[in-house]
Amino acid sequence: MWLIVKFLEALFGKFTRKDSHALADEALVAQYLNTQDDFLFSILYNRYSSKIYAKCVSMLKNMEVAQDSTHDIFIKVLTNISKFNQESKFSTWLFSITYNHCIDQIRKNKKNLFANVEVEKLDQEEEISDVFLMETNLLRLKHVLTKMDEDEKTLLLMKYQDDMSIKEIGDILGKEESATKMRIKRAKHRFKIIYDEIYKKED
Amino acid sequence: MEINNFKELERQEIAELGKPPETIRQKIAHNIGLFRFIGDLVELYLPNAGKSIIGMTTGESKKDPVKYPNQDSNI
Repeated sequence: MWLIVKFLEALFGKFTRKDSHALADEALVAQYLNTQDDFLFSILYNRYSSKIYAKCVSMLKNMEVAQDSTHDIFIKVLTNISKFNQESKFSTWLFSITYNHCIDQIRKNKKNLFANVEVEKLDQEEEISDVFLMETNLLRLKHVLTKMDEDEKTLLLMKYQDDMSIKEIGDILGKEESATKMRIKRAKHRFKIIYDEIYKKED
Repeated sequence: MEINNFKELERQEIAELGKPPETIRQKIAHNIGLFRFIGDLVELYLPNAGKSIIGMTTGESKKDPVKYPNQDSNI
């Protein structure tokens, strides 16, 4: 009888686990909090580890530091997962942990990242359209981003790569929404200036 | 469909780098195990350790004094 119960438990568990792969991130988190089943966390890890690793490499520019950071970020996620309040998407929450961690790492070496410098007013200048940035040729986009300052590049990645809202970006930077908007506007202008410097003659 | 080459750039970077090394997953699993073990230890022994420390510092016992059968009730 005991064996039959165990067999049914294993079989049922197998089916439940199979179904878990189809669950949305937020449902997986809720189930993980109820069961503490490591298998559920491993699904989240499989979904996001490559993305987080690529972000760390892109921001930190050092494979070893990026690997350590990927580990540290997932440990932070695990230890704080009960604080995830489901108000935002899990991916947004995970990316904000990633950006905060990488920004801290960069600040250790280069302390003026996202420093409280006065942002010059750009109201008089034309608004650079989102379409211009998003439709920039892939090779050119990559090249221009490498020429940008790390903080301005990071702002553009948060907005266009991770679809973060102004408020979410502001929360990471510890800035008001208006200040965040101004910084993004300035980053877009810097992108256009660098783009024009390199490619205007070619076009 | 809206073109967004930022997303395409991300896809390209992920494809170039591939998955992070397996050692990262193993380290995470090891750390989770360690955290749980420490948590279990604390849960098991901390309440008793607390009681022992209180007992050692105050020397008071909340238990009624033991009364032996041959003990005089007036004492």
